[in-house]
Amino acid sequence: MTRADGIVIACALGFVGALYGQFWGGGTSSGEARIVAGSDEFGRYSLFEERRIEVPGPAGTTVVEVRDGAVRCAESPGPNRVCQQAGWLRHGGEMAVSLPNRVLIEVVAADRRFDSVNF
Amino acid sequence: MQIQTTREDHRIAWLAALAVAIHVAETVLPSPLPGIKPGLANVVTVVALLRYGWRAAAWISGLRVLAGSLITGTFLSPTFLLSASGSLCALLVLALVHALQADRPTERLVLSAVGLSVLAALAHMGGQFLVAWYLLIPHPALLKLLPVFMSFALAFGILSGTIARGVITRLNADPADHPSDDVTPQRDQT
Repeated sequence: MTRADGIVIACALGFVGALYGQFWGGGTSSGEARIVAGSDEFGRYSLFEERRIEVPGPAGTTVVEVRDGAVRCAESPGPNRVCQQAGWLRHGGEMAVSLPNRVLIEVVAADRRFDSVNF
Repeated sequence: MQIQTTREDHRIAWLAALAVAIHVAETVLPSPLPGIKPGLANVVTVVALLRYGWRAAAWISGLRVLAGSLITGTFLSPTFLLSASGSLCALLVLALVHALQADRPTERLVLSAVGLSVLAALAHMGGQFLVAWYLLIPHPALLKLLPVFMSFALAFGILSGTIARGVITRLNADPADHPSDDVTPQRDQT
């Protein structure tokens, strides 16, 4: 193998790695979380200011926790814990939804990758 | 009527037949994704390029795609289209690199069969992927598969390049076989 071969293989590895980053990487976060309650926007919060937000809904109160650039649904009245199971949301476009409480938590994406999401 | 054939014609026919045999044998191998195969027939193309020049490599590659598709029954099918476009891209890249380094075989930064195979494999995959995306499945979800395809292309490129390098080393060591009537000078493979 010549030195040029080594360079070509290294470049190819970098190229393939970049492809993974480009097509498999998570959406770029805008650093902002958006909470929707019912049909109205409840609020937008920076992901880098630690806080707990209580969002009232028809089934009770959904507690949203923001910490270290991520947001999660900490508590929600839904019996199946679907909202909590979404875990920490970090990448743009990721979301957690509590249907019983009609609350939607999402990380606002720098570039919108989905027009809509159906559940 | 008899067509006059040269020694080079015979050599191309032999090598193309070898490439077709490898090509057809590979189609029976199971594959995790359509479009992924080792592409060992490219070994023949790269060896031909380094020993007999770009013209021979182009003939062998073209004949392989044509005869291979006729044998496997995919002539003019989407598979053929992908195979042909991939091979064309690979050939163009090989021709470009070969032309760039043909007149300075002694320089240090010269690609051996390994580098050539890697470039050809990536170009082949890139070409057929673009055609698949534009013509067959124009859906953005297909792009999610591109990194996987390219990983396989890279791995198989290194594999077939290593094989090609071994073949060339053995051919060069054989005193009975010299590409005497050749335009391209023979080059040391180190």
